[in-house]
Amino acid sequence: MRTSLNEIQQIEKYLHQELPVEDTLVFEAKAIVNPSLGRNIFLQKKIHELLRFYHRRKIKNEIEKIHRRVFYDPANATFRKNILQFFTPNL
Amino acid sequence: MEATELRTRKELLATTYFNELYKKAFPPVAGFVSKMNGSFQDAKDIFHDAMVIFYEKTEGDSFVLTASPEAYVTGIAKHLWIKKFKHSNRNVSLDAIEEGIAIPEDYYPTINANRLLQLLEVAGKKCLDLLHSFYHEKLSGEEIKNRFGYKTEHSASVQKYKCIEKIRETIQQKAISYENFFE
Repeated sequence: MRTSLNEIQQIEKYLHQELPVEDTLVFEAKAIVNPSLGRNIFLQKKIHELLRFYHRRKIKNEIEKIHRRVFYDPANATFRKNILQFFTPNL
Repeated sequence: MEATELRTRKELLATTYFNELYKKAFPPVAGFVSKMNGSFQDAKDIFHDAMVIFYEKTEGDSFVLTASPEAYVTGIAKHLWIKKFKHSNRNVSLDAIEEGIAIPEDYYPTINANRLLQLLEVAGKKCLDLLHSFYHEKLSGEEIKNRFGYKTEHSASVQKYKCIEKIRETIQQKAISYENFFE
């Protein structure tokens, strides 16, 4: 693998706490003296952040499917009516 | 429907469990939102987000259900309401169990994180999906190899690192315009 990809693999291990303690310390020291490594660690964390949002969005799409399936199922008419009643203004 | 039972199920969302939970948990959440003068749309949004958080929690190894699933989802919804509409806890009554429920600090993405994700969904959907299957679906190398059509597990994992590199470059290119994302 290319050096840059090896670095990404190392960062991954570091972020997932899969490095032995002594390697972790060495890695952190390297990140301090090598700003490019430090920045790449930061960016890789950000990628994980984005992936978390992506994951949530996927789950939310699934929940929306459940909503369409359950809420509009004719067999659940009473359920739907009860929910909507909460939002009907009192006359 | 114990928490332990939940954790062992892989395709949670496809099972009847979530359909049932949906029917049990939506009414109390809708009742709460209507009491707070929210609309049906508010109730649906908050409820769906609460279900997402509940699902995410069941994915964790250390999740212990402290109440019935529907009470738990309602508790999450109350916390989301406080967060979303910047209400203080005093305006929303939380019982002891609900007080103990924590929701992710970063649940709602920043505008720039959202824009970046939208961009990546257009420019690098395959990479997002590959990384998602590694990190979130936690598929095995074998499963990933088959799903994405790689010859070997090794080439799938090399592709994973290439994808990280590619997304990293995209993020860096956008670093100036999406400044807030880097805070």
